[in-house]
Amino acid sequence: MMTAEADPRNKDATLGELCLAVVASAWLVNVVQVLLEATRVKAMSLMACGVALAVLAVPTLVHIALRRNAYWRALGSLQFATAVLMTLVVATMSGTLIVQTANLGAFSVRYGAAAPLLTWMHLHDVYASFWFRWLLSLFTIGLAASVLRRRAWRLKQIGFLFSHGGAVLLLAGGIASATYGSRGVVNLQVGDTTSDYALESGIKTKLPFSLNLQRFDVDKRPGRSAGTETIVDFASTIAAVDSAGRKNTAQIRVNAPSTWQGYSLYQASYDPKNTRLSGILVVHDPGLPLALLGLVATLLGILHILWWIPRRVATRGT
Amino acid sequence: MTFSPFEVPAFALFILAALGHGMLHRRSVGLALTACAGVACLGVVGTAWHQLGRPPFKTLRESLVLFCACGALLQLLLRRRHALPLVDAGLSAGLAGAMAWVIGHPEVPLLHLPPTLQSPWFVPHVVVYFLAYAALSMAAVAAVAVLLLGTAGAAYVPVMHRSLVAGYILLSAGLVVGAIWASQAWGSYWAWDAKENWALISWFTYTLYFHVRRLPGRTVRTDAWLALTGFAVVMFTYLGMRLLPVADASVHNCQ
Repeated sequence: MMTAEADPRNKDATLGELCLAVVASAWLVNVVQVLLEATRVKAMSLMACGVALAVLAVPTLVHIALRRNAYWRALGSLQFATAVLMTLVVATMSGTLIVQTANLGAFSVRYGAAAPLLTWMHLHDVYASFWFRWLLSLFTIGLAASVLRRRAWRLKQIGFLFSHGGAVLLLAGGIASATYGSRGVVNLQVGDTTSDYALESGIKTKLPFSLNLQRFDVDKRPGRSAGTETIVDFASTIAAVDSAGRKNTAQIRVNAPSTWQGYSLYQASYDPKNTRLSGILVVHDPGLPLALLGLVATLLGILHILWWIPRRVATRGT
Repeated sequence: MTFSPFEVPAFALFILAALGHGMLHRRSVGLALTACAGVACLGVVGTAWHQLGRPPFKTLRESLVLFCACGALLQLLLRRRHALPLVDAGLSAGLAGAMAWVIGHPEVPLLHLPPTLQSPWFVPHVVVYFLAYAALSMAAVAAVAVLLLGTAGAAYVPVMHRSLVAGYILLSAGLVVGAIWASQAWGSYWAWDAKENWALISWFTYTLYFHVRRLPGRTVRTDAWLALTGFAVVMFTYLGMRLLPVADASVHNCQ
């Protein structure tokens, strides 16, 4: 049985191997992104583009296959993990220090001469930007590689598998949500019926069923200063009917949504000037179960590594 | 004005606990005083909950009291065989300072939580996070001891590590509880808002601690600096959101 140091699988990656692995991963991530987008919008031209990129990636794939030990060592290495984590810290911070907005006019007013550079770098919309998503993809690849490099599917390493594999599931769920999910709002007056909802970009999309707002209940209480009122709770009663005539009636309140046919309706807002208007959030998120599974798995894995194993070592002395 | 008869006793008990930990050789006196201080903080929380008719965890003042209660609890739980006066006295003194701020800043009570916070997830989410912050504060105090004492500070390293383990598990649990709650309430387990992002940055920083410790060339001083950096990040996450230009009407804002 080799010691941890002598095992060639654990030899540190060289800087050159790390750089090559990063570039190769970036290329493959781009291919995957194009292909995913092609399946989402069902565009043949985009699919052809993706296939072309994949064909161009063949030399890269061959190189990776021939020197796979070097790649796995690099991508699954602690150095890579540390570098990616530090980059993620800076990247995540950037979106909190710079105002994130779709309103480029206001952004230019605020940042003046720096605005064109900042928008070119997508710093006004960091978390949906191509480079941030690329960074998250690198993170995912590194996590998966670390599991594969250590062959972490053995029982002794179940914590490592759950924590690192769980994070991969979470990120995969995020990709699925971002590619195949949609979110929008619909504002209904009591008595209105509609099957449209507006996405964040303003584009109107259709639900697979129509919504009718039957009631909108608002609960008011005295506010913090004398003579004011605050709204402490609000709820909508909605009747939904789909194209086949199936009906579903439900009451939605804040923190208590209703889901039907893959679409969830959330009681999101009210209009202080018009208490007959209900603001409803519509969410279609196919990645959600995967992401929640990943979150729970990650937490269990962390508990195994940091609590269960040390406890066993302390009591058994193994 | 909300006023709890337990606020001043909590402050006084933390001061006495700091003196007890720092000056006495027998640990039992200091630990007993810490336990009483913790009970007093829970008394403040209890009276506020009763007066307001809602969990008192929304405003900065309210959350600081919870922080002190968690600090006292964790100081008792993360026990070790030898007395570590710097850590115990330092933590108790810090908690006394927090209670002093609470006493000095009375506020008009906020009577109702916004609807988004009226959820059974609210209390677990906040409590888990403040237990995490308390553990990470203890780790930070131990890290200071490690850095200041050099080789003589080796005895402080295990308690620093153990506090970091507890704090990291709690931070992770807090993220998970928050994500599950958000997916129930707003259909999105992650919204990239400023506070969530800084909670994630905090988590990344402590994740770095656990990974960097296995790198060649790492020393105990590296670990201690990472623990302190993480503490700075966590405190910014807790207190510093109003300094950011991202003007959020997020539910995460403390009033």
